Amino acid sequence: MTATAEHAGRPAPLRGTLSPEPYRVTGRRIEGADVVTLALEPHHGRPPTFAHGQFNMLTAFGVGEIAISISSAPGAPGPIEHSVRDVGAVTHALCRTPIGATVGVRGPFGTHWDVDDIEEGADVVVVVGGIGLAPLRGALRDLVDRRRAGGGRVFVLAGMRSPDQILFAEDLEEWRRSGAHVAVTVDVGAPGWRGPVGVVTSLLPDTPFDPTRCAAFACGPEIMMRFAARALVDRGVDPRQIRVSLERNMQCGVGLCGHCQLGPLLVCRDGPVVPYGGVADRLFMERQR
Amino acid sequence: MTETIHEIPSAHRGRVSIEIHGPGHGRHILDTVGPGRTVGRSWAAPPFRCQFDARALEPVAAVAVSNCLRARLGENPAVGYALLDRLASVLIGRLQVARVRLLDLHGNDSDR
Repeated sequence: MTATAEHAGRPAPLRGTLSPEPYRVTGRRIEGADVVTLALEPHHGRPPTFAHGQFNMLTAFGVGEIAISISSAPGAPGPIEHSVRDVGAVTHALCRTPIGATVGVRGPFGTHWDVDDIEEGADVVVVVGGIGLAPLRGALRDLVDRRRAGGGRVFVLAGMRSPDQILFAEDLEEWRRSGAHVAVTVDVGAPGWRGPVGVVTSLLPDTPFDPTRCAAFACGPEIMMRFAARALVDRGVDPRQIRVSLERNMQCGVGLCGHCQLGPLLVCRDGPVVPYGGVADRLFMERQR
Repeated sequence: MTETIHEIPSAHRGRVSIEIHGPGHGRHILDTVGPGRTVGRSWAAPPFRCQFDARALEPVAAVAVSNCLRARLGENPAVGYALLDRLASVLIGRLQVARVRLLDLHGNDSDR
């Protein structure tokens, strides 16, 4: 059998879609007690283009594969970054992957934060909880750059577990210096912490954004997003101007396997970023089956 | 602090932390209160006793209303209702926040 005939009998390999590409870990940064940011470069060629909020399926060879949002900005020079929280076997292996080692990457997949559709000059409110800041990190960099160039105001409200577990503290400080309104609250205070203690929604009443001309993005634990979205609506924000990022057990990444089904959506294909008004407001009430 | 309350404190400017001390654990910050928020609520119900400490995290201007107001509320139910109606919404908000925080949403499952 010739090589051509051998190949003719099989479907063409879905490279980059269902089979992981080898990427080298070129950087590793510890963000907090259990979060590591990996900088990845493909063994061959350039990484595919992606949009804010999309995710890749990362493989720790011999352990498993998991969906991780891209935490760097599209078009930024250098490697693409993924921030991984050590919560299970695969994430534990990824967090321990040393520089120079190889991981598998499939993607990018899913919907994105539509920062380009924000009305010019409108305020942008970003509400995040913990590692939920990672999928919005790239978008925030772009939004803060636009603010610097005369765009709308940017408000970043972040809820973290404790003062020693504030993720991306350098980014938060840089955005603050660049003119964004940045507020961080922690669930558990500590001696020396002079900032707010409480849930992230408690920051909203003191945040001077214009709810009538505003887009909002929320990312974090779903209960947090539900409370945040409701609090934004209570402030007068149009529910259709609120976007949230859903998280489910994604496996194929392309809407084939159905593991990530949530109501009428396959989150890997129709999400993770979805509108709150008319979509997530109903899905947040779905019980996991 | 477990004293009987003689004043009803409310922050006007600045931030106040609500704290409790635990033997061997130092102080725990339970909450922070910003401008326009009520610092203490224990004056509203028996035994009218402070349960927590309040610490100014920055220069604070606060308003403290004498607890003789409580006696007046009984004499003037309309005012009493209006005040307690507002306080009820504050208390319900605090209770909901406390319940959400019990979930430890940002914690690692292995921490629980």
